[in-house]
Amino acid sequence: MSTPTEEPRSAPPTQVKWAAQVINTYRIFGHDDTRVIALDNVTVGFEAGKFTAIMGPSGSGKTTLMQVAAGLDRPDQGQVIIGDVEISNLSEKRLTLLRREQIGFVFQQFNLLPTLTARENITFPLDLSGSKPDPEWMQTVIETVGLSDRLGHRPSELSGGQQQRVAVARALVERPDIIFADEPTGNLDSQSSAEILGFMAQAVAELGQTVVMVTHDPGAATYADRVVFLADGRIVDDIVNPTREEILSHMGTPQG
Amino acid sequence: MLRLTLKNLRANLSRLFATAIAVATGTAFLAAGLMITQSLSASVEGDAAIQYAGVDVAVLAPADQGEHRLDSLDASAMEDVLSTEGVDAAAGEFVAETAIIDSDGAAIRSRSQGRAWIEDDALNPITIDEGSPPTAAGEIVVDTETAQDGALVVGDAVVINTPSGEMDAEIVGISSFGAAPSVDSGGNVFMSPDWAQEILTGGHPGWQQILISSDTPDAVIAGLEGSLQGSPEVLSSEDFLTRQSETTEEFLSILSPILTGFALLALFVSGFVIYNTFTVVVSQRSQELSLVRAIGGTPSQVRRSLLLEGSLLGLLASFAGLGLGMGIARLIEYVLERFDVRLPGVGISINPRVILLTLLAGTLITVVSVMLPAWRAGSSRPVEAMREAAVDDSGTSSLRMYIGGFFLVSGIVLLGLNAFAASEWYFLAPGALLLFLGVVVGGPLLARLYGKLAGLLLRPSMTGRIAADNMVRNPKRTATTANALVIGLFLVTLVTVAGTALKDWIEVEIADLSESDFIVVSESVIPQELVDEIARADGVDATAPIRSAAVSTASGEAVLISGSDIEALQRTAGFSASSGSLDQVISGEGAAGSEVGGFAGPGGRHDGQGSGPFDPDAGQTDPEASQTDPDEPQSTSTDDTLSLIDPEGDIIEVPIVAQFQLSLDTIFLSTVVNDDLFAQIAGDQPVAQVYVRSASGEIEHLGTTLDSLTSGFTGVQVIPGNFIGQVIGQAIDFLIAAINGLLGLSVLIALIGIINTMNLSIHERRRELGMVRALGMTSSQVRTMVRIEGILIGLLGTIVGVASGAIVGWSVVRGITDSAVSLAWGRMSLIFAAGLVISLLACLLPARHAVKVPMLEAMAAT
Ligand SMILES: Nc1ncnc2c1ncn2[C@@H]1O[C@H](COP(=O)(O)OP(=O)(O)OP(=O)(O)O)[C@@H](O)[C@H]1O
Ligand SMILES: [Mg+2]
Repeated sequence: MSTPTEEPRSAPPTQVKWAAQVINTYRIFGHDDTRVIALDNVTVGFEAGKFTAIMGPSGSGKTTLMQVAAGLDRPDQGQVIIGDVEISNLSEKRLTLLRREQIGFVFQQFNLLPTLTARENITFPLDLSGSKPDPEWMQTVIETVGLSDRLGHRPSELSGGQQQRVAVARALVERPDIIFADEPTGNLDSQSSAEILGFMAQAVAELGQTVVMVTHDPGAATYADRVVFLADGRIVDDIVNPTREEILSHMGTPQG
Repeated sequence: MLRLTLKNLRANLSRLFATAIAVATGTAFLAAGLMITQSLSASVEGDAAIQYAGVDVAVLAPADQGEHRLDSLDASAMEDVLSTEGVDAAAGEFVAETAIIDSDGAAIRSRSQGRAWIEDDALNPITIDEGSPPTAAGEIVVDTETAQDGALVVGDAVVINTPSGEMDAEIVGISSFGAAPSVDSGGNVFMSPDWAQEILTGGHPGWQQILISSDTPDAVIAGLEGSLQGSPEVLSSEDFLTRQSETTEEFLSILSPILTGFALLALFVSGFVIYNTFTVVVSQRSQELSLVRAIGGTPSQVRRSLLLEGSLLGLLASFAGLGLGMGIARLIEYVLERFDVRLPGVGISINPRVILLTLLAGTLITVVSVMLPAWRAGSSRPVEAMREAAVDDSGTSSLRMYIGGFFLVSGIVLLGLNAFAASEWYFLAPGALLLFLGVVVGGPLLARLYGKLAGLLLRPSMTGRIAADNMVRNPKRTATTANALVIGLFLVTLVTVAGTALKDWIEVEIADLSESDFIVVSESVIPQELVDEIARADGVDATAPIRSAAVSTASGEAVLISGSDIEALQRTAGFSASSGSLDQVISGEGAAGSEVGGFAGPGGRHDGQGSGPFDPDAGQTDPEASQTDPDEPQSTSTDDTLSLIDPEGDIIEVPIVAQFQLSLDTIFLSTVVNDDLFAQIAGDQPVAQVYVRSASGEIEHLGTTLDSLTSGFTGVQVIPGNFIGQVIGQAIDFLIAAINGLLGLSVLIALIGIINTMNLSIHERRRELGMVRALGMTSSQVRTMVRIEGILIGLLGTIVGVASGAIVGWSVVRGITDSAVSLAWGRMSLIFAAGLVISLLACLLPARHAVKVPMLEAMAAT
């Protein structure tokens, strides 16, 4: 199957800068009986400086899409462009370095290294590449996430919400081109969720950070500038500046 | 529950594989040791039984106060035996080293024994495969193996080297001994009884033992007792056979505890590895185990399931060890053969006892090692199962610190007492034990402290920092892993430090006893031209050629007389009187006797086994010295006068006017006269030894000169003055190497332990590994991280092992020598390096393993 490169379907007509693009991408797991098409010819772009949410029913391929777009997983077919680099030809090492330099992650759980303090966890990706954090920026980030008095603590001494904030701070401190977050608030109460989400939205609005977030929670999605809906491995909807009602109505739409 | 056990075994196969290797290695060594000692004792007794099958009564030469059977039976004893009523046949036995020399002047087999041929068929255990028995002087029969080694056939003319020097002989037959080629493991050269009397006895006929066949042994024994001169022992065939196997049993009684000791050590170290593996297996499976308990499994069921798992594993691994042990035993056999030592009899065999013991030991050690983890598994609460692979601070309580610290300090204090204060050894064992306990108890704390330190040192590198942190994530596990290495390296260091220091000390002590710089010796004679050349050589300060001869006294005894220029001997060999004065010896009016009589030369009379480290020298120390003085093993006193028979048959009276001080140089001399007197007593004799003293600063140069001068003369050797010191030094070095080789086994098992722990830790931290990879840790950084962690563990084990080994070694040596001990820093750093290399090796596999952890799956795993 030859897949001609086309402009992402959901691209607005104006000139936009894509932080990451996934073009005509397939991701297939298993064989024969167990074959699952997790991504079925997906084309989507994530705009720089914007907060994009990915929603969809369980098993629809959200995590897979995020992992493919972030260069954690390779598609079976199709192109993935991070910044302006097409990653399918990159070696594992180059890809790792690219992830380290251009992408930040916030996972749902197991975000932090248990032996390191909060501060050390925050600077971990920078330490890996041997670079020093910009102290001013570091200070800004830490103050914004509100962790100043917790920096010397180990993850086991922090609450779930605090741990998640450390993870967000870690993603921000390296000033990546794009941050991917997979259900960052999945394990948190609404209070902590609101803090984290507000903080991420703030980073986008005030610092020009790009964020792509996978979520189940319609409330979380309202923080985003745009919501992409997945079902059965396909993009079924794409709304800009969504309201809670819009999201709920889209979620209610029967699939297919 | 059995089903669950089997399933678990299968599911954890790769993980348990390493444990199985540890058990198998330990049991293999036990099995090999058992097999070798068993077959040795069985076959030696069997061999003696075959060799002396036809013997009904045996007459043995009287033993001296020691166990050495220096003396031989007079030739006349044979006549007495033959005339005793009831004796059907009798044969004399005489064994002495005899080598067949090849065209290059080297011995075909270095340890072959010459034996008098036994003519009576009933008494003779040897069969002639080809040719005929030796009947006349100059005829010899060799065994099949020697014939094969030297490509010899019947009819070949050869040169043999005997206690009476080199002589020509013709091979008239090829022999074998039952299923084996020869009676003596080094090979045999048989000669007619008469010729053997002439050449093997060094000119003083006699027999070492007389073998008798008789239908009425009791009567013969009764008849012989009292009728024989001297006090020879008369033994029934039963007593005789018991006597024969005594030496072997003595040898075995030393060998088998040593082998068993190493086997037990290997098993002990395996225990650590097994314990560790199961601890981790249990903690890994804690969720599954608590599930089992949640659905109704009682704690004891959980425990039993684990114990069963351990016993099955132990049993299976012990079977593997048994097979491996066969291999090791064969390897040992092969290596010994390369050194010309043939294990007597049919060789390695396996029997039910060996099988049973091996399986039992292997299974037992496994079960014992699993007991604690199993108990813990049974009593673990479900909450614990929920905990992630977080930081485990267990094993670092202050109680542990106090107890461990107390053990450590008191151990060191006791070792110090052993070194300085006490002359007895009361403190050594408790001190070493306390030290060990301190290391075991305080291990987790030590590991934690060390990890903190390493973390500080490695701070600049994030990878190194995390590795150091990971290492002390579970201080108890780290300590147990390191301790497996500690035991091995502790013993290696102890043996090396103590051995090297003892060696140095002995060498210094011995060097004090030696004056001469070189002794030139010969298997037969040193030609006069060579003696002259040596005297003229560059860098020579003085030489003292020695001529020796066995001279008969008027009363029919033999005395070894040596002649030399006494003043030159004083100069070169530090020859001095301990009582009396040498003046009359110098002027030729008297002789100097030895302080303690002749040097009891190396044995090797009856079999090859008695040969000690002096053996290479056995041919040169003048075998006559030990064989020609049947009645003079004791010192001559200054009041004695020797009545010697000169070549013309006249009697010369020689007063003993002095006793000379025994030193390592003069150890080869028994009665010394000056050259003129010697010529009168013994006529014109060739030079047997030359003592050489070098001009100052010329010793090394002279050594090379002497080597090149003598290289053209077969059988002539240059022995450095500190030769015995060197031989002992070499023997100790060899021992150190051999023991360390065996100890290396336990180090190997520790290596497996490190691999195991690392693999398991990586498995536990898969999710973390996945995360750090996602965050941008490259595979080479992951590899480095794992390597650093492994090396840190290995380094901990190495440091503790080498340090404690050095402490105990120092205490031992200091206790023995009472002098300052120079530690073998060079060798210790080698051991240290070896420990590091081992840790590096141990990381190879886990590092690969870590890189292969699939990033996404690891993160998705819940
Ligand atoms: N490693 C894998 N092997 C096999 N199938 C997989 C694998 N990863 C994902 N899948 C399948 O691909 C499909 C999409 O999975 P994905 O994890 O992307 O879903 P999701 O939208 O993130 O779901 P959720 O909201 O439950 O997290 C699912 O049907 C899943 O079973
Ligand atoms: Mg998902």
